[in-house]
Amino acid sequence: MVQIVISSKAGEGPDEWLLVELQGEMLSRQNTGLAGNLMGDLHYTKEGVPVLIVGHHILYGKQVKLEKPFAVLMKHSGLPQEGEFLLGEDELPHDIIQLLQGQLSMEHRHLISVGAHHPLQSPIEFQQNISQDLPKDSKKMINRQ
Amino acid sequence: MPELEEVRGLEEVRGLEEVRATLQIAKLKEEDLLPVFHCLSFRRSAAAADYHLLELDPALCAQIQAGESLIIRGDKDEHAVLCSEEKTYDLKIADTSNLLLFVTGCRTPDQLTDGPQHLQLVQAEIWGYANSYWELRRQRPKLKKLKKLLLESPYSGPPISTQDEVPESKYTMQDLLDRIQSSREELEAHLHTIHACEINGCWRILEFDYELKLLGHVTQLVDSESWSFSKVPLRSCLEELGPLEPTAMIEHCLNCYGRRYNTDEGEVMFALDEDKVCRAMALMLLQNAVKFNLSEFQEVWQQSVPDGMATRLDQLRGLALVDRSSRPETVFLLKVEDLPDDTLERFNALFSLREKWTQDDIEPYIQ
Repeated sequence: MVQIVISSKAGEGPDEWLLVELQGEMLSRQNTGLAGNLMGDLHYTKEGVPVLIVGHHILYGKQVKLEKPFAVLMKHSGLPQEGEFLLGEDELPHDIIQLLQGQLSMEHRHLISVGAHHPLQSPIEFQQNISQDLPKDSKKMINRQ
Repeated sequence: MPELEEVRGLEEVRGLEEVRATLQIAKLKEEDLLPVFHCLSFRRSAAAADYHLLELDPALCAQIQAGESLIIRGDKDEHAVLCSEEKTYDLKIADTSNLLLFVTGCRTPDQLTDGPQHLQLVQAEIWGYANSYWELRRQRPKLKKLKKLLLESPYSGPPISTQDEVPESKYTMQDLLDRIQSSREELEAHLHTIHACEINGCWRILEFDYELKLLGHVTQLVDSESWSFSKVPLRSCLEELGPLEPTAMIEHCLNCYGRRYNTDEGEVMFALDEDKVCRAMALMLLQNAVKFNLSEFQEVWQQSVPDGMATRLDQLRGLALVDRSSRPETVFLLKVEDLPDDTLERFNALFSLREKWTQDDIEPYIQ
């Protein structure tokens, strides 16, 4: 039987981790991968509402405390990404390097209408999940040119 | 315009002017925002493959913070489980259509209520991301395998000759932990429940006939000495019965069927557990028959227990089932530890035995 020990190595990773949840996927425009690339700008309104600008999208959300905290595990070898969780022969220990108790949940999005020379031409494209509904005042924002 | 106060940590990926230009295009006003702007970039080595997210419950979280380790145990043909020191959890990958980013160097609105007065531009790093996480669900440990392993080599008394020894089929505690998907505490508790005994460093289950033999010695001694069931002295038992059986086994029998305590004089005594003794007798009667006529059974059962002990049907919970719908009423053996570990499989097994169950009847089998 395979046994993997997960022990806490808190302090080995950086401090102050934050979990940000986005409804969508990130893609690299030129297939160069995401590593090293800019994603976007994160701001907070004076009321504490997080605002994330990613490419042509403005995402609004809220800060939530997680009912079920997450542990971030750093793994030493590949694990299968299947629905059934079966372990392979050569699994190595994992470390818990951080516990996340809160997150920013970025839900609602507006679209930024942009001209030809957009300063936030990022190598990363964000595709929102299609089922997302636009909030009511979004059209107002887009038309205000 | 407020002056730029601080650029944190990393090389500047984006400058303030660029951020402000973006705000303008997005039609956001700087005066509506808190004066901390974050630029999020993916770390140079960020990859989905490096990290996993594991969803915890608050209790597990506290255990991890206290320094406890967790162990994932998986067999080739079984789903993996996650074990803390005391509990077992089913491990499943939950796919989410959302993207989860782990970001460092980021402040949150609640940390900024006292408000820095100067504008800060923070370069924050995305260390990794995931679109799935491991979900935990508390589950019954897979202990059915334990009895199966121990039954490979049950103990029925000291070996007559060395040819009786079968070293391969014996398991130490570590051997068991390496083979059974269970937390340590749950494993130890089950060993106790099935009356297993550590002999020469290996855990052994007793052949039932041998266990009854030991119990018989004890109850007959109690009877002949006219001891009260709640005042059985260890020392006398070992002295009187030592010639018949290993003293360790006599003591093991007393531990299984009684409660150990010390008198004021420091003497070790046992209070025999009437329910446990009666259950053992019931098991002896029921194991050799498919079904028993209920009233006949009750009569024979009462006669088989030591004088002074009283049998009751509720002592049979988790051991046997009474069928009141048949004529005559019957009783048959149904041991909870022989049912499947998996909840759904267990329900299927129970309902294929009997179509309808009362809450009271099914309760000992689905805890």
